[in-house]
Amino acid sequence: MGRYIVRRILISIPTVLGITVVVFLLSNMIPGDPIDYMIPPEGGIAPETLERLRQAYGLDQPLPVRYAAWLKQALTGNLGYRFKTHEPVLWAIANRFPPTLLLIGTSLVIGTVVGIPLGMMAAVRQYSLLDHLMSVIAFLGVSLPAFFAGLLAIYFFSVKWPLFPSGGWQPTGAVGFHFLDLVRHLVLPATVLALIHIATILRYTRSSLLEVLEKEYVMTARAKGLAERYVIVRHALKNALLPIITVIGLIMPTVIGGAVFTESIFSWPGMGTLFVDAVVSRDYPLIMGMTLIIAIAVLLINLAVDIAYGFVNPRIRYE
Amino acid sequence: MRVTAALVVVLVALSLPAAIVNAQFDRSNTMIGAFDVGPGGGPQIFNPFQATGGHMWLAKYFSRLVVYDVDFTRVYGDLARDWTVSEDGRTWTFYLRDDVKWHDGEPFTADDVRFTLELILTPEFGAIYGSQYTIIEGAEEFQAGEASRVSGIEVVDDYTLRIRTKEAFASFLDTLAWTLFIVPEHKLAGIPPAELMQSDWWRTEPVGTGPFKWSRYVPDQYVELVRNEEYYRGAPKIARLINRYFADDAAAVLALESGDIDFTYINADEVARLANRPNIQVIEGPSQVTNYIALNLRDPRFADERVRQAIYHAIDRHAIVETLYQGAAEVVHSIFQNPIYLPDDLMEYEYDPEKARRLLAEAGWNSSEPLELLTYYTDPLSQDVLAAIQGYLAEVGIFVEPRVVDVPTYNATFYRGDFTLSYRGLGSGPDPDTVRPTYHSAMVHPQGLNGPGYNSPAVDEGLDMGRTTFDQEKRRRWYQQVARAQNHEALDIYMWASTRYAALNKRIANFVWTPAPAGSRYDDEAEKWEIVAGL
Repeated sequence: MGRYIVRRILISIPTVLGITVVVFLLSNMIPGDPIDYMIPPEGGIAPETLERLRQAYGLDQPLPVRYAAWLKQALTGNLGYRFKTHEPVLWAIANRFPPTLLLIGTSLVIGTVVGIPLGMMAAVRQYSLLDHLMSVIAFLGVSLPAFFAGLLAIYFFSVKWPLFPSGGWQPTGAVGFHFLDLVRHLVLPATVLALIHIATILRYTRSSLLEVLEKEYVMTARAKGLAERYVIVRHALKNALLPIITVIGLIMPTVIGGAVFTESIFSWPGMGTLFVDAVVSRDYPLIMGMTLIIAIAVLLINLAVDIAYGFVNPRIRYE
Repeated sequence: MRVTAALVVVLVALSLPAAIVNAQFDRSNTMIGAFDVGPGGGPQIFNPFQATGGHMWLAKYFSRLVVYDVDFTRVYGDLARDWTVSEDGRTWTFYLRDDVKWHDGEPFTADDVRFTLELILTPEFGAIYGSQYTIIEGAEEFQAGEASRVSGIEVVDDYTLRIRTKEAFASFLDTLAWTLFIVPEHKLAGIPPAELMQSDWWRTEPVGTGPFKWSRYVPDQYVELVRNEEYYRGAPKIARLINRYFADDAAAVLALESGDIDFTYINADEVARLANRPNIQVIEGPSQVTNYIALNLRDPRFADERVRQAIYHAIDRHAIVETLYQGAAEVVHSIFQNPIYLPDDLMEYEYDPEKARRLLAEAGWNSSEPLELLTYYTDPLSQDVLAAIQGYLAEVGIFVEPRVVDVPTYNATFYRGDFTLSYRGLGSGPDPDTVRPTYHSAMVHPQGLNGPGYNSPAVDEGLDMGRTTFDQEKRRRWYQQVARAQNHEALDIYMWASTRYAALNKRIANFVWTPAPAGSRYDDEAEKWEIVAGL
């Protein structure tokens, strides 16, 4: 097992490098650069100094030179400075990481804890009223765009019935950190995101469990006279979990990468909001820094998911 | 099941009213605004010399030598109490206020102004507006490293500063009001300019002379300022001023409606809904931005005057203003809106699709090639406007396809002349010299912002002469010449200038705002803003 993990990590290194090369090329292929971002289209400023700025930022160098310079710096743990605000990239990311972890983590926990039981109920009583209701919820959760759901949530729960704040993660201007305030700010965005996760996990649980329930060993278990609850939880669910873990594993990277739309709508100071800002302002060092960290995190999560398979299904072994 | 039930209980408990929560701080004397939402904003950019927007917020803690009044009709002193200009229009003497203190208590003097000007002119500092100040005598020698001081800037005494320009420059005060935020020499002189550009000073502990003092910055959330009790025009009435950041404009409007913030810029399509809310006041003002269709004049298809006139006659500009803008815009016939720069003999190019078709036929227009219409306007109203323009042009056999891109993409495409048609806007005031980098034929990329390759000898002459003429009557006539040439030659299709809006919670009194390009250079009298009611 230990050797397997080491080997997987070693194999990941060229993958991470490849990702950074591709993202570097792609971000430079988008028309416009950080200097173009600075010129307001409606203002009449003379851009004689702009070429000088490009030089100051090193944007006049050929792409391979710029990539090599970035990589050399990154290998020493220095991800450089943002073009837009000049804050250190690592500092910017470190600041946005806790809010994202909290928001996506909470919504994923709710999604799992609510989604799996609902999916089980829908499978056990297939074609019942409950099952149809679940289908509708799943359909809504999957098809409602996150930004629209977010706007609706703010409109109803902070404008019409002012129960929750309209955005942010701490009261504006409040001094110190208060847990209850954090929870109040978390409710709307986490619920909106959780709905999406519930919908996804519910659908997978239902179909996976339905499939397993047809299996012969389930019939055997029932024939033995085991209680139905015992059959489902102990025999069926355990085998149905594999695809569910895959789905959760696919959602996991957003815990690090953030949820772009939900975070933007709720002014949540997380990775999603930061990444939008990075792309809009063509902040190359920030785009690269975030890519590197997210890529490493995703590869580690994938590894963890693969290991989790082994626990759920002992037939899967890693040598 | 027990888990789900527990979750439901938790969720219900959390939705209990805000009253149970501890950290609801006192907002009775705190104003929270989304001051960087909208086209004039520049969110989270704190170095004023790298900021092409957001000047309204920067002016809350930095001050300038001179400012405009809110109607942009006159310039008056801020840090400068008065000034004189010599007969030849080249020597400016500024008499500074002697009662101004920096936020850290140090006195403000003429040396701070000299320091700021030299900093802007230092190439390594990378000030975006640096080229506006190369008109000062000795600036080029200074930039080339041949002189350690700019010879045209002379500190006469602590409160008198003399600036000599290489040639007469009639728009100098406008430039000062726009981009010269004065920064403290005693804080910044020790930092090499190249490092200062990247320094965290701007976002951690900036020191200015404005009505409010820096308190703190919470990334992606807000910046908080506190009242400057020592402010030279009197201590502000509001104790704390907070600028909240929104990644999404719609979320800012909802935050205003919920009472979480007191002010935000709004799009025209929100006006009707918000005007009905009892606690919200909608503020409007002229955008000072002229919308027009720029033609790529290197494209031989637009070489024939009749084609350009046909585009004018094909579009019912008055109908668009009345139906889509609901009257909140005015049709224009040149880049200028200020009537003093408009001559009497401007042509109307009235809506006449028949005439447009005839002109196109005479010019031998080829209808089979669709033209791309590039824009950076993403708001719903502009999308409708583009659709209307597309429809009108199709009627006469010009087929355009709108292409909406973000600002960096637009800049990289437009200024390099890499487009066919572009629906865009240009700030045309308050001083008419503002349009020079866009219209002078010497300002074609990479020298300036003349992306279309605009080249009109009459416009060039008017812009050059107006820039150096101090006599107001003569100056006016030079810019009227510009307007006339633009209108008669039809090298651009001028459309309208629209009204822009903001919304304010009525608990704020004495609030002054106008939708100026980049957000400022007018005096918004922030020290008089006052909170007159509870939430």
